[in-house]
Amino acid sequence: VTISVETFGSKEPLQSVDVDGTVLDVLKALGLSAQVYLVARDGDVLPVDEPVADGDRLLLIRIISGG
Amino acid sequence: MMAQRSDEAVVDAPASVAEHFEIAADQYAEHVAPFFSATYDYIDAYLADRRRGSVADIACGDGRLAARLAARGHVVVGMDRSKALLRRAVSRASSATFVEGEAHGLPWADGTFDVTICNLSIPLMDDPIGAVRELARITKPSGEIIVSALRTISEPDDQTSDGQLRAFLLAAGLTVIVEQGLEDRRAMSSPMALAGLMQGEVGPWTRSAAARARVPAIAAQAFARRPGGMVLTFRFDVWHATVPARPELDGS
Repeated sequence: VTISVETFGSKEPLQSVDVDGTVLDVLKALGLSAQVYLVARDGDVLPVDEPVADGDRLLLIRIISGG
Repeated sequence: MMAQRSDEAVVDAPASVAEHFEIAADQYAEHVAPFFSATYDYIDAYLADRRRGSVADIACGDGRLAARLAARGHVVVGMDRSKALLRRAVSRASSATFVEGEAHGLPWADGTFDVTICNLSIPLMDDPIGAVRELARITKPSGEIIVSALRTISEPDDQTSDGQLRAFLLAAGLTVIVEQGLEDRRAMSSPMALAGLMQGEVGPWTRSAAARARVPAIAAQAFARRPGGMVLTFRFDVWHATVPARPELDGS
């Protein structure tokens, strides 16, 4: 299951991750904290136990960046 | 897809840090600064045991630390480049003095202050080493400089500061005398608090009114879908350094 991920406000290119599971699994695969990042799909913020599907395009929203 | 196109537009129009703290001063003061209270508590407690003297708080924000230090009897001058935050500082701390300015060209003579503080701000500056040199310049020989950075939020590998500040202190010819780590767990109290945090932080939300307008709805959704709540663990690094007794500061 290949998921495309981009980070809101970042110029980093789209990342692809292979994850079969939930939003939380995607964050874990990226080494990111579910407390610090929200995940949206089609403008809708997802619960962390939401299953992801092949071809999903997710937007990561960092709620605090420091400083 | 619509959302992704608008995000790209947001990135194309970045706000500077200075602009951010004018645009989002209220959200910063109300919803972000309280998450940093571990640093205010630490510095306040540290200076409570010290002889009362002159203290400069560079990048003082809304003056919450300056107010506490002034209440302890220190003679406190706060400086920030945000007019909006300084207005809050003036109303919060009537016994401290506040000045608008930039850390890269501080308006005080060499060796003016016993203690110079720059809390959680140097990583946001364009020329951090130059700023540290200025902190050292305005501090008395054998005086003390206290600087800090947010290290991580929630996860050890989620680095927001990599200890560069220590290198900046050494590059400016200072001697590091204390390195202190702080940790603080904070629960988000409401969707409004989450929205305020997102809007008040330096970051992409600053960059367009359209993006900022989306924040409350995103925060409300996120909160509704996390019935267990949201708890952030903040880790901070604080360094104390001394200025040489006969300053041979590296100004080159």
